[in-house]
Amino acid sequence: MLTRLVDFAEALRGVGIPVSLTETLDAARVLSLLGPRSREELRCFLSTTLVKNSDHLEIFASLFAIFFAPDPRSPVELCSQNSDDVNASGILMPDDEGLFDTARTTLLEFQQEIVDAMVENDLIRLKVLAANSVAHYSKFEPGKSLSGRYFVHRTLSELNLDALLVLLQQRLKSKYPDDEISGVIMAQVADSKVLQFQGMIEEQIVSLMAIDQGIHRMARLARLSLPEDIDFLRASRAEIDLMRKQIAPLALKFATRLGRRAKRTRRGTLDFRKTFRDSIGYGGVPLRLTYRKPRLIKPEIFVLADLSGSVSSFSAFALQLLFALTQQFSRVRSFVFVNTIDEVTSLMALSYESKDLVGLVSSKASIIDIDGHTNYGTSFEGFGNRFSADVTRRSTVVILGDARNNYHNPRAELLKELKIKAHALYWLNPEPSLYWNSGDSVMAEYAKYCDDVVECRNLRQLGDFVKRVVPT
Amino acid sequence: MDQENHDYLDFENWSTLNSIDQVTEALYAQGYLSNTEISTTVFLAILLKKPILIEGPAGTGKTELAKALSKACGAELLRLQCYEGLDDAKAIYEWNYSKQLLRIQAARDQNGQGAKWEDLMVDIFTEDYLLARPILQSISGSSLKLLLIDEIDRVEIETEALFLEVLSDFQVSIPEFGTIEATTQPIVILTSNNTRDLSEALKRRCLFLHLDYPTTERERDILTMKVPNLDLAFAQQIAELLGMFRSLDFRKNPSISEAIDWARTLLALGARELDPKIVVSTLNVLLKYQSDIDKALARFK
Repeated sequence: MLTRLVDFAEALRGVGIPVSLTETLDAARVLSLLGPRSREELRCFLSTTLVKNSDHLEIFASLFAIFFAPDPRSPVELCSQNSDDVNASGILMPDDEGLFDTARTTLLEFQQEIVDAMVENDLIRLKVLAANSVAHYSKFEPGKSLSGRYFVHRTLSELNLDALLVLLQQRLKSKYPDDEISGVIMAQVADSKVLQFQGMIEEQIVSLMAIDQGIHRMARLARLSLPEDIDFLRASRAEIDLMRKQIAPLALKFATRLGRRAKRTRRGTLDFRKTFRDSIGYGGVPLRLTYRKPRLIKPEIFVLADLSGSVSSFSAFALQLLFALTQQFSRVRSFVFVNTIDEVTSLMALSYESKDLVGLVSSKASIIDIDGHTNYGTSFEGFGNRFSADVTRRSTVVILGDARNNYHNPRAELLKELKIKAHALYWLNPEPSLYWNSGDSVMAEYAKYCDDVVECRNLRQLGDFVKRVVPT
Repeated sequence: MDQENHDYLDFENWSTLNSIDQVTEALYAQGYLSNTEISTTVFLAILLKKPILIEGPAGTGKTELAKALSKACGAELLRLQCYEGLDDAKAIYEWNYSKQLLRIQAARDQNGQGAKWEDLMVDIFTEDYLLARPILQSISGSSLKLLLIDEIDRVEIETEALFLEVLSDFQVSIPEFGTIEATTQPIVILTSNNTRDLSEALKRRCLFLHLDYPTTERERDILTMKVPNLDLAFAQQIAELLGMFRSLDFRKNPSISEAIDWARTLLALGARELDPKIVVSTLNVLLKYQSDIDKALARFK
């Protein structure tokens, strides 16, 4: 158990969760004092002693599932001597006695059984059913070095979750009164129950794989990373949702930090007039020196975001973060382009928290003409003609994009004009710097006229950049 | 392992709380509905004698937990509300300057020309002239105390260091005086709304508990516990509606306390089940931003 714990702590550190020696010792002490009675209790023991940041809990859970997957052949052995506690043992083997027998049970009957358990909220039964589904539909192949997602996907598609959802909704309908509010609630309840079942299936497969592949190999296969380290361009849908949740807290943290810094900034210059006036009260002796309040100069930000398919998820994040920080800037104006440019400031102000920002913005703004491919040259030209009069010495221009110009004319001289007018010009590129200037990327041409070109592949790098531009 | 019998542990002050289940029961008796995570963390904190750092959205029962726990183990609750600019004089201790001055003055009056400074100095830097603030209070005296350091994320990161000594060693050092060690170790609970990252040094010294919004079942039970005359089926409906609201990306999610207020409102208006008309007209009890209310209404159409 102790070796397992040390390995686990090592794996947590491997993905970037800071686990110190003290914390590992705490966990070890707990385990030596109390034998966890269930897997759930073991999870609590470890999470409360090892993980001190709520953003890290999700990764912790994934790694825990791998490291402390109970042996399917004796499901309760690892965690507990109390074999009655089936619910908490986490994994169960399908019943050999014919609880689920393909010869006798059709898919529909099986689905009905799952729905029954869901309606009664019988979690133990659901876990057994999840184990059964995996045993019969995943066609799990021991020894094959496949990602767990493959088996999850196969189980779910064979099980036909959509049909299951419809069945569940039909069943729940009778339980809810017939009005619009209840309808919405019912749909939500059904969704979350199906999702919960899906989670159980995933957990079961992870357990099977951890035993089959060995813990360390499995941990590597899972390729886990903290939300702030996920690559924008390679994020899956689920990861994007996870990252989206980080935007608001990230903005809040910046705002708090910066607000405090603004208050603590050094005193301003001597206010001679006021000092002199005050001194009259003391017979002309300037007892109290008065200083001018330091004026915080807030920059005006112009964001030009490439919304073409390849980088849109990155641009959406950057736009959202900058907008969430509106208070820190005197003004944020945002422009989006693919091959023509359009201003979307008012749209952003209304809906910067929206889930499908890219879809919303592209439907309301005209950013693509006939060609349909990214063209930085024409976009900069459009910006120059329509908006560049507003750019002044107080403006910071931030361009978001990969500088992949589809071999069009880059028109870098337009950027030069912009640079001369603006206070600063930054370019954020979501590609690894290694790939810049390869293929149709013309980063170097533009870089000549930028104050800085920043590699911005994940939330951490984005955060670092924001720290640089906000007033200090 | 037998959980009932930890004779190697020193439980003299915690005699009622010596297993995870007993923590759950004791909290329940004080009107706090716990779950495995909460009870486990509280019990481990008692076992390891470590502070608990509770983090989570506003209104999920962080402060309530501290209050319930203090009642459950009969500890006196000392609350230190953090704010920007909190200093050691407000958090730990302060010399009672005016009393010291009076003492010096009094010494002069008796002798006509003033007492010896050495005698005086020994005299005025004693416990009589010390004003104990919550942290010092929590480690003095023999009765069991619970120190609640509320919203610690509001103090600057430098100020956090003030708490480190008391959190790991349960002692306070006073330069003129020496070190005061706790005779009875207090239970320490820190809460944070996560508006900034706390320092690693602080986190390392604590056990961590993330309190999120409750599951539908737990919320239903909390509602029936806190709202008299609310039947189970109605509570279930309310809890399910809240679950749906919290999945909608509101600017501010409805908290447990707001849910309780809302359930009371619904009952007061005579509702016995979720009536769309009453729900729509009372949404402002639950949601505090017009944009959130609009979003919720849009879902019902």
